[in-house]
Amino acid sequence: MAERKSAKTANTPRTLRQENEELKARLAEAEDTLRALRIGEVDAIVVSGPAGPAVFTLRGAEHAYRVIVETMTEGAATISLGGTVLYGNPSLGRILETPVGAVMSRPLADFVAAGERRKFADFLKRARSGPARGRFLVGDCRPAYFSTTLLQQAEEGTRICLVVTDLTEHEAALDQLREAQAEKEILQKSEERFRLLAEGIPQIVWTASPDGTLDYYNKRGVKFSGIHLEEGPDWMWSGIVHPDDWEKAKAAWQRSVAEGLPYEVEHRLRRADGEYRWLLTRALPLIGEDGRIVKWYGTATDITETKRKQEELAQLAERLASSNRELERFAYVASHDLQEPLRSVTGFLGLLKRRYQGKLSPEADEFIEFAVAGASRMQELILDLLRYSRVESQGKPLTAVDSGKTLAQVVVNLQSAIEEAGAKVEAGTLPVIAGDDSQLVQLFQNLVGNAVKFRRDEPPLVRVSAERQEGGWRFAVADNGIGIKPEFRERILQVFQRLHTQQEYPGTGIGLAICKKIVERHGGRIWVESQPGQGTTVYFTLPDRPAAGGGSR
Amino acid sequence: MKGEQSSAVHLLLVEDNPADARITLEAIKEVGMAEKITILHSAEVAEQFLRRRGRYADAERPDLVLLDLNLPGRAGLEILAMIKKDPALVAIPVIILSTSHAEQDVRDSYAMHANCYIVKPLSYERLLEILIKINEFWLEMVKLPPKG
Repeated sequence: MAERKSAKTANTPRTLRQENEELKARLAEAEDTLRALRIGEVDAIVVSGPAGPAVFTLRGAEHAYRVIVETMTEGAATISLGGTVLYGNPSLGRILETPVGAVMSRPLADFVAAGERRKFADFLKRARSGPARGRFLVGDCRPAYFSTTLLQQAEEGTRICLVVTDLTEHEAALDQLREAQAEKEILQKSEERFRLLAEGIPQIVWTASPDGTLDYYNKRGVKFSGIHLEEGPDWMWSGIVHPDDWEKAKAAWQRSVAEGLPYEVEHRLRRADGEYRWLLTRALPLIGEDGRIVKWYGTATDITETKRKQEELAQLAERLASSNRELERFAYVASHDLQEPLRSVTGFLGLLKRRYQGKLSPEADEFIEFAVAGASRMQELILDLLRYSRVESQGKPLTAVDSGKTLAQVVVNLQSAIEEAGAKVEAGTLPVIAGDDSQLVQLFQNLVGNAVKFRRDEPPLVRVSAERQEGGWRFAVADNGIGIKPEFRERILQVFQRLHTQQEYPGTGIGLAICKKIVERHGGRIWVESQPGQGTTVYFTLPDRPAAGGGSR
Repeated sequence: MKGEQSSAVHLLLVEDNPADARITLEAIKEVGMAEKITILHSAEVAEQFLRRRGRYADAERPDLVLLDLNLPGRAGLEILAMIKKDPALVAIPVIILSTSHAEQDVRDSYAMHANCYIVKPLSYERLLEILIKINEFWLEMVKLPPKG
C-alpha cells in the first residue's frame, strides 16, 4: 500500500525538481500497481478519493470468472509443464471419473487410457510450446477433447491451462448421424436398383402407398397409358379401366389394401392408342417391422396375346375333340350302314353256293367261292372297324377288374382255336387292375389269338404275366411263334398293317390297332419285342386298381 | 314238319328290305316252316292286313309273325304295340328280327311284349339254322293258341 502525500511548496527550480522526482516515483508506483493488477499479484487497491480512502478488491471482479469456471460443464485445469494437475474444476473430476480432489497434484496422464499415454506424452510436449488440441480416452474409455493454452505467471512460472470437453454425447450423436447416413445410402442404392429393375423389365411397374394411392409407375406405364402420374389422378381409377372390369378390379384392390392380401386381377385397360388391352395386374405389400404395410409393389403385364393364344388353343382343342368324335361317328356309321348291303351279298352268295354248287360249271363254283370269301373278309373288316371305332365311344368307366378272370374268359372264347393248334396258355399271377372289362377281354383275346395264330411248326406256347410298376402293371403276352422283323415292330400296331397275305395267315390288320387304342384309353403303353423265328412278346401297361369308390375317366 | 297243327301254318313276314325279304323267304321255304307265307313291306299295310281293313277284309290271321324292327320311321315297334294291345291279336307270337344289337332296342321290344328278339344273321347258313330252331320251337314243340 502506498500513501499519497500532498505537495505544499511554491514553484522554484528546486521545488520543480522535487515535484518531478515525486511524479516519477508516483508514476513508477502506478505502473507497478497496474502490472501487479494485470498479473494478479495484487488483490486490492486503496484509493483516496474525494470521499476518503476506498478499497477496490479484484476478488469482486474475479468472482464472476470463478463461478463460470467452477460451474461449467467442460473440465478446466491448470497443469504444470511436467503434466501435474495444479488446479481442476469439478467437471474435470466428473469427466475423469475421479473426485477432483483426488486429481490434484497427480499427473494428468494417469487418467488417460493406458493405450493412449504415449500419444498423450507427445501432446503434452506440444502443449509446452504452444496451443495444442487432441482427443483422448479418459477414465473408463470416455472420449474427451483436450484444448490447451500456455499461461505465464510471474512467480510460479509457465503453466498449461486446459479445457477438457466430454465428447461422449457428441460422438454418440456423430455415430447416430453416421448410421443414419449409411442407412440413407443403403436406401438410396436400393432405390436405384429398384428403379433400374423397374425401368428395365418388360412390364409396367408401379408402387402405391399403404392407403392404395398410386405414387409411381415406370416409363412403360407412362407409355402405355399416355398419362403421367403428376398429370392426372391415379390412372388405375381414372376411367381407362374397361367399364365391364371396373367393379371387379376396384373391389379387389380395395380389399387388398384393407387386408394386406396379395392383389391379382385380370382386367382390360385402354392403351394410349385407344385399344383395350388385357392386363394381368399383381401387387404385393411390403410389410414393415411393426407389421404394418409400408408400400405396395405391383406389376401389370399385357396378356392380350397370351389370352388370344389361349382362346385359339381352346378352340383348336375343341375342334380336335369334335373332329375326333366325328371321325369315330363316321367310322361307326360307315361300318354300320355297310352291314346291310353286305348282308345281302353274303346271304345271296351263300344261297347261291348252296343251291347251285356243282350244278353250274366248275368255273361258276370257283367264282362263287371267291365271291363268298371276299364277302366274308369284308364282314370281318367291317366288324373290326366297328370295334375300333367303338373303343372310345362305347368305352365304359374304369372299374376294378381281375385280369386273371379276364384271361380265363379269353381262353374259353378261343377254345376251338386253341384246341386246333394244340396250344398251351400259361399264366403267372395276374393282378386286379382298373379297366373296362369287355375291352380288356378284347385286348387279351386279340393278343392270345395272335400268339396262337402266328405259330411255327411246334405247338404254340403262350405265357401271360404281369410285373408291378409305378402306378400300375406291365403285362407281357409271350409266344414261341414266328416272330416279327425289328423294322416292323411299330408298324404292326397301326390300322390295316399286315405282314402276311390272307393265305398265309388270315386277319384284318386291325386287331393290334384295336389293342393299342384300348391300352391307350386305359392310360397305358403298348410295344412289341420280337426276333424272327424266336417268338414275340407284346408288352403293355395298365393302371392299378382304382382307389375305393370306383373308376375314373 | 308241321307237327300237331290241324290247319296249315300261316306265317306273316313284315320286312321292307326286298333283299332281306327274298332271302328270308327262300330260307323259310327251304325249312318248310309254313304252308302259307304272307310278306308285307310296310307298317301301314301290315296294320291294315292284321285289322282286316279295306282289301284285306278277308285276310287270314297269321299263326306267327316275323317282324323287322327297322321299318321306316321306327314303325316296327308301333306294329308290335298295336298287335299286343289288340285283344284279337295279342295272342299271336311276334318274333322280332333286327339288325340292331342295341340294348335299348332289345329292352323296348320286350317291354312291348315281343315274344323274342333275334338279331338278323349275316350268312344264309346261319339264317337257316335260326329258322330251323324257330320252327322246332314255335311250330312243333309249342302249342299255339287256337285259331279263332
